[in-house]
Amino acid sequence: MSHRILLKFAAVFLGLLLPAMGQTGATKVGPRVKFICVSSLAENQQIILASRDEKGAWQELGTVKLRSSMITDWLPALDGELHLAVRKDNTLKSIGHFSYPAAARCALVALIAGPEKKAFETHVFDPAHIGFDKGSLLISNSNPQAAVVSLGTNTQTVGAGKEMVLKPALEGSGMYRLMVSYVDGSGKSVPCYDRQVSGNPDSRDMLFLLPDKALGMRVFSLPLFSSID
Amino acid sequence: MKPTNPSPLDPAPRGFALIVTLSLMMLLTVIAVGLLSLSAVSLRTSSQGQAAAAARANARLALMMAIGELQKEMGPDSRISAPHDAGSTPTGGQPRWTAVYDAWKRPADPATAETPADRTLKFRGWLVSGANQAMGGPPGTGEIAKLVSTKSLPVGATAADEILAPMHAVTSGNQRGSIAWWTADEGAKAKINAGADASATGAVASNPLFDAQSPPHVGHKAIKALEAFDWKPGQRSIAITNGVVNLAADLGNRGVGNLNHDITVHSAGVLSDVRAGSLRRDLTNLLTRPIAELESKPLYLADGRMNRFQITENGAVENASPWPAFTSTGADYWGINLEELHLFHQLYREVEWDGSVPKLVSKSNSNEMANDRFFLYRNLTLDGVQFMYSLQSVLNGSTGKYDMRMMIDGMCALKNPYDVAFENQKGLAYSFYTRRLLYKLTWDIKRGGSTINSQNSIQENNFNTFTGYIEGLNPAFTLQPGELAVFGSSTGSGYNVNVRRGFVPSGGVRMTNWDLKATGLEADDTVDFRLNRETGPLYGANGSWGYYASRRASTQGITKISDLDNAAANSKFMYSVGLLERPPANAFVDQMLAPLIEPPEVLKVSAFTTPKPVLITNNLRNVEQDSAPSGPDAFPSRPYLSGSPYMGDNGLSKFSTWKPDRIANQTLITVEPMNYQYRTIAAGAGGANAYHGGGRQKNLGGSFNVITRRVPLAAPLSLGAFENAIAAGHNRRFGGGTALSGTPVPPPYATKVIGNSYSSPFLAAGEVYRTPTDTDGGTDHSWMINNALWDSWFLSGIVDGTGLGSNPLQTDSRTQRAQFNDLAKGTGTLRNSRFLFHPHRSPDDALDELFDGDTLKYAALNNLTKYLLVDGAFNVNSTSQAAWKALLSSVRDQELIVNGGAKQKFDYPYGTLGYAANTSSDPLKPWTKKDDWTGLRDLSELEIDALASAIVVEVKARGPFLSMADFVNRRPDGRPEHQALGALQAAIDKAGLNARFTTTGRTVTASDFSPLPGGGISAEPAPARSAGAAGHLTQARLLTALGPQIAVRSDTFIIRTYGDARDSSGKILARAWCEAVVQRVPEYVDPSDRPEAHDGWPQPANKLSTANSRFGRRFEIESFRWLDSKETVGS
Repeated sequence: MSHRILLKFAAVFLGLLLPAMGQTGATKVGPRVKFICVSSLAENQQIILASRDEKGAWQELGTVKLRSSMITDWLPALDGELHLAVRKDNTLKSIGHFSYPAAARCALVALIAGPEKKAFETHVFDPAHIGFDKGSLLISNSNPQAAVVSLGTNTQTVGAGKEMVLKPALEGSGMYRLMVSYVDGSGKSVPCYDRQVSGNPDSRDMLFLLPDKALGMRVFSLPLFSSID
Repeated sequence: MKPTNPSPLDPAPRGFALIVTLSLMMLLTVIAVGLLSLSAVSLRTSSQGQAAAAARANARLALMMAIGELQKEMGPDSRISAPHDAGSTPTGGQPRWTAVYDAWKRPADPATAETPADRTLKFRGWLVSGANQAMGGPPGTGEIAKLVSTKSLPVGATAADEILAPMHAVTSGNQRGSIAWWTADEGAKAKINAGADASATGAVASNPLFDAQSPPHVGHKAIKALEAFDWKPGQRSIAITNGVVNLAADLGNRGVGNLNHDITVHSAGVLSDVRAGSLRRDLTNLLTRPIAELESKPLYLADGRMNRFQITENGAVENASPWPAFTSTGADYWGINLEELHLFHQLYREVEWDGSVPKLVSKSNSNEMANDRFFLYRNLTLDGVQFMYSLQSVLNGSTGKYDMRMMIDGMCALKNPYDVAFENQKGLAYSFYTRRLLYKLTWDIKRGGSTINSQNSIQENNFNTFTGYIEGLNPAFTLQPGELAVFGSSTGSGYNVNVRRGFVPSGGVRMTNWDLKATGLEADDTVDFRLNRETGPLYGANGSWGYYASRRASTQGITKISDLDNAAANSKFMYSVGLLERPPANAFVDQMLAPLIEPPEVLKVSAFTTPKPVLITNNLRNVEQDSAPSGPDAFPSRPYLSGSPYMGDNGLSKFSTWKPDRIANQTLITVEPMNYQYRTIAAGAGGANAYHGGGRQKNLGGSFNVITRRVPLAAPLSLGAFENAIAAGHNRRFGGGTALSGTPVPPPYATKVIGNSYSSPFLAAGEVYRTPTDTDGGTDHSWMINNALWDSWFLSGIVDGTGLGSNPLQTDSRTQRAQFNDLAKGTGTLRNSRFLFHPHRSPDDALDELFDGDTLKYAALNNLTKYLLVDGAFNVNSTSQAAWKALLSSVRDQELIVNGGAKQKFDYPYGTLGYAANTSSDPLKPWTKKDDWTGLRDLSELEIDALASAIVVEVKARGPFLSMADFVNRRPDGRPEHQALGALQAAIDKAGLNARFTTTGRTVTASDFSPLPGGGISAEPAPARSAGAAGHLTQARLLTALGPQIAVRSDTFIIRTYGDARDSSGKILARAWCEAVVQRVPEYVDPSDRPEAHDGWPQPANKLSTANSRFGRRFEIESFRWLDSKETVGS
C-alpha cells in the first residue's frame, strides 16, 4: 500500500469522523471543502462528494443537501479529482467535478447550476492562496467579458473568467457602494449593478458575476461567516 | 363688400353683413321650393358685353347660392366639415370637395349616460353645386365647370389637383346660362401667416412658458417652397393673399399658387361647442375662482352621465339638477372634479423660487398639510418601503446565557415626481410602519450536534411593530426633479425610529412583541431555523392583515419623533399604502411571498451577537423591467398609466384576486431571504438614492431621476397640459382637514387620463364603463373626462399677472384687464397669442362688459367667447399631410427654459410646459434625446414628416371626427385598431416615434393583464410598457402644444364660382369666375339672440329663434375678386 493510499485512507477516516465531531470540530485536519451553492439543480437535493480510485470505483467522501443561496459545512476531501454525484440505480452519477487545489488546506467550491440544470459548473478557490481574509471580498467573474468592480472607492477590473480578492473601502457607517459594470465589445463600460451594501469585518464575502443575457451580467453575493482558519 | 382682406384687428362692416343675411334668407327660400330655374339677372341685349355682364351676374348668383348653402349647412355650431377622403367617402364625392356632417351631439336627456354607441355618422351634403342629388338637392345639367386650374395652383400641381364642379342651369326670360360653385375648407389647411408679428405683440415678449402650450405661429417652413423663408416684421398681417406670400418670399408669380390645397392665409375659428350647439366657455375664468366655489363639482359620474352644470348669466356654477349625492360605489360614483382641475391650474401660484430655479415646498407640519388645499401636490410620493428582519443573540445578564431576538430595520424611498425641485420643510414628518409578519419561525438549535430547541414562534398580533419616521430636518431636505431618495433607519426609541437620508442599517430595533422562544443558549450552540409562510389566518379579521407600509401625518401636530409617544396624536392617518389582505389560500400571497426562508449558513450563537438579517419585506412601486432572478421587482404592466396618480400606491383594497390588485395599484409586495446581508434597493453614494423608471438597476433603464409629472410655471393655456394633473376623482377630504385626500377614487386607478386615451385593461375593448366587481370593471376615465372637457371648454389664459404667481421666468405682469385691453386695442396679445379680437362690440364696450375693474367678471365665463377667434384654427379632419406637417412644425426651433433659467432652442420640442430642467444625476451630462425618463421629446424633421403622414392615415381611417372628444378619444366602435388608442396616439406609435420603448422585452400584451378583459391592448401598434413615461410621446403632449389651435370643424371658406351666359341653342357666349373668402363669426344670423345664448340657456326653456336654429351663426364675406380664365380653366 503506497503512502498515497494510506494518506487517502486517513483522510477518509478522519472525514467520516467529522460529522460526529460537530461541524467545526475538526476543521484543521486534512483536505476539506465547503460548497457555496449559488444555484442548485433542485431544491434540497442530496449530493454525494466522491472520488474515483484508479480502477474507476466510486469512493464516497460525504453527503450534503444543496439548495440555492447556501453555504455548506466543511466536508472531507481528497487531493485530485472530486465529483459531485447523485445515486442512481445503485450507483453514482457525476453531476459536476473539480480538482482539489494542490497543497490546499481547504477549498471553497462554488456551485452554479448549468444552463439546463443537469450539471453543476464549479469554481474552486484556495482561500489561503488567494489571500481571502476576513473583511475582504472574493470576486469571481464567470463571464466572457471583463468586469469593472467598485467597492466604495476601491475599483478594479476583473478579467473574463478571472477572480480577484479586494477589500471594500467602507464608509463610516460600515456600508459601501458596490458597483459592477461589464465591458462590452466596443470596450465601453456598461453599468449593471449598483447597491449600497453592508461590509463586515467578521465575514468573507463572495461576489459572483454570472452571465445573463437580459442583464448583461448578473451579480450574486453571499457572506461567509464560518471560520476557514 | 370689401375688395381686400382687412386686418384682423379691424372691425367688420356690420351693415353689409345684414344685407347679405337678408339676401341669403330670400335665396334660401327659393332653394327650398325648388325654383332654381329663375334668375334675378336681367339682360336687355345679346351683345357680347351684355353676355359678359350676364355671365358675371350668374357668377355672383352662384356665390350667393354657395353662401346660402354654406350658411344653412355650416352656420349652426353642431356641424362638422371634412375633406371628401376623411373616412369613408359619401356618395358622389370628388377630391378636394368639402363634406358636411352633423356633429356628435350630447344626448337630449342629461340623465342619459353617454356611450360610444351614441355616435352616428350623418352626412348632410357637399359644399359643391349639383352634387347633392342623393341628398334631395337639385340636379345638375351634366356639364362640369372647371373652377381651379393648375395655373391657379402651386408649381408642380397636376390635373388631379384641379377642381371641377357640376353645373346648374339658370334662365332669366330668354337668357340662358349656367352656374357652378365649389367651397374650399380653409380650416383644413395650415395658415402660414397665423399669429401676431413680433412687432404687434406689444407688452408681451414671446415666452416659452406660453409658447409651449400655444405656439405663436404655424410652421410655414414645413412647406417646401417656404423652407428658406422668414417672415419679416409686419409681413404676416399684410399677407392677405397667396400672392403677397409669393412676393414676400420671392417665389415668382406661381410660388405657392393663388390657391393652395395645403396652405392658406385665411383661417380663423369660432370657439364652438359642437356637442352642445353653443359657444365654448372659458375654463380659465372658472378655475381661477376661490376653491370653495369649486368643491363637490364632478364633471361626470362613473357610468358616463355628464354634469351639465347650471350656469347662470352672471357666471355662477352649480351642479346639474338633479345630481346624485356623493357615493363611493356604483354608477353614481363621482368622477374627476373641478377642484382637481383647479389645483393643477393654480399650482403655478404655489411654486417658490431660488433665483431662477423653481421648487415646490411642503408645509411645515402635518396639521397644515391636512388643511393644505394643494396637499395632493405638495407631497413626495412613496416609491418603496422595505423592512429587514434580523436575528440577534444577546447575553442575558441574569442568566449568563444568550437569548435570541428579532430586530427590525426600515427603509423608505420617497420620490419627487415633479420636474421642479421639492423641498421638505423642517418640522414636517412622514412615517411608515409595518404590521405583523406572516411567517412562523421554527428553530433547530443544536448543542454538541443534538437539537435542543425546535420550538415554533409567531409574532403576536400587533398593528404597529415599527414606525420609521422621517423628520424634516434642519436644514430641510430637498429632492431634485424626479429624484428617488432613500431614507434608512438609524436611532430608535421603542418601535419609533428616526430615519435619515441614505441607507445605514443599524441592526434595527427589538421586536418586543415577538417572543422567539429561544433563551438560555450557549455561545457555541449552532443556530438553524426556518421561516415558513403562514397558510391560515391567525388572529381573526384584524390578524389576517399582513404587513403594511404607510405614510401618515397627524392632524394633531406631530412634528418630531417624540410626538409619537402621544397615542392620540398617533391616531390619524392621511393615507396609507400597501395593505395586504390575507384571506386563507390567497393566490396573491402564494405567488409573491417566499414560502420558506432558511439561513445561508448555520452559525454559532456567538456569530449572532451582531444582527444577521434574514428576511426582507418589499413594498415597491412597479417599474418597467424585472431584474429577476434576484427579484421579482417588476411585472409587465403599465406603471405610468395605471395606479394612483397621487401616490405610488393607494392600498390593495378593491380587488380580491392578486393580478387585478397589482395592476390597479402597480405595487409589488414580496418577501425574500436576506442571506445575512443588508441590501435593499438603496444605491448610489451612501445609498441615498434608488433606481426606478426602467428598472431597479441602471442597465435595465433605471435612473435616479424619473419625472412623472410636470408642474405648470404659469397658468395653463392648453387642455393638453392637464395630462399632468392629479385628477382621478379625489372627492374625499381628511376628517379634520379641508384638503382632498387620496382615498379611493372611482375604480380603476388611472393616471395621465386627460388628453390621452388608452383602453383600460379592466374593460373590454368596446366598453367605457362596466359595473365594478371584485375582479374587473369600472370607468374609462379618459373617455369620460375628454368628453366633458374638449368640446365645452377652452382656456383664455387671462389670469392676473401680478402678485402671487409672478415669477422670474414668466414675464407677463399685466392685470387681466390689461391683457384684454391690449388684445382689443391692438397694442398686444393675450398669453395665447393666437387669439384674435372679434369686435362683437367696441373694445371699450367689451371691456365694460367683461371686467369689473382689473378683474374678469364671473359672467365672462359666458361672455368672453364672442370676442375671440382663433387665428389659424385647424380642422383636425384635414387629410393634407403638408398641412399637418406645418401644424406639427409650429414648435419648430422653439425655445424652452432650461435649468438655471436660461433659454435653449430645440428642433421640434414636445412634452414640456415650457420648462425643461436638466435632471440628469450627473450635472455635467448634457441633455440627450435618448433620455426615456426625464426628457422632453425633441423630434427631428423626419419624425415630424412620419407623424404627419401617420395622422393622415388615421384621419382617413377614422374620420370624420364628429366632436373634439371623438378626435381625442379612442373609438370603441368595434374596430380593434380604433378601440385601442386615440387617433393621435395611434399615429405616433405607428410612425415609430416611440419605437425605442418597444424593443425586445419592453412591450406589454393583453395576456399580461389576464384575467382582466385586457381592453384593446392587443390591437395597439406598439404597446409599450412605459407608455406615459417622460420620454414616451403621448398624444396629450402633442395636444399640449396644439390643443388650443385645433377644432373639429372650419369657419373659414373660400368659394369659387362660375357663371356663363348662353344663347338659345345653349352655346356659351361668355363666362365669368369669382372667388370670395367667407368667415363665420360668433353672431347669429338673427341678432335677436345674443351669441352666447343657445337652446336651454340662459334659461332652461330658452330656444333660439327659428332662423338661428336653422342657420346658426353668420357668415361674412371677407374678400372678393374676379378671376380670369387662366386661374380657372387654364387658358
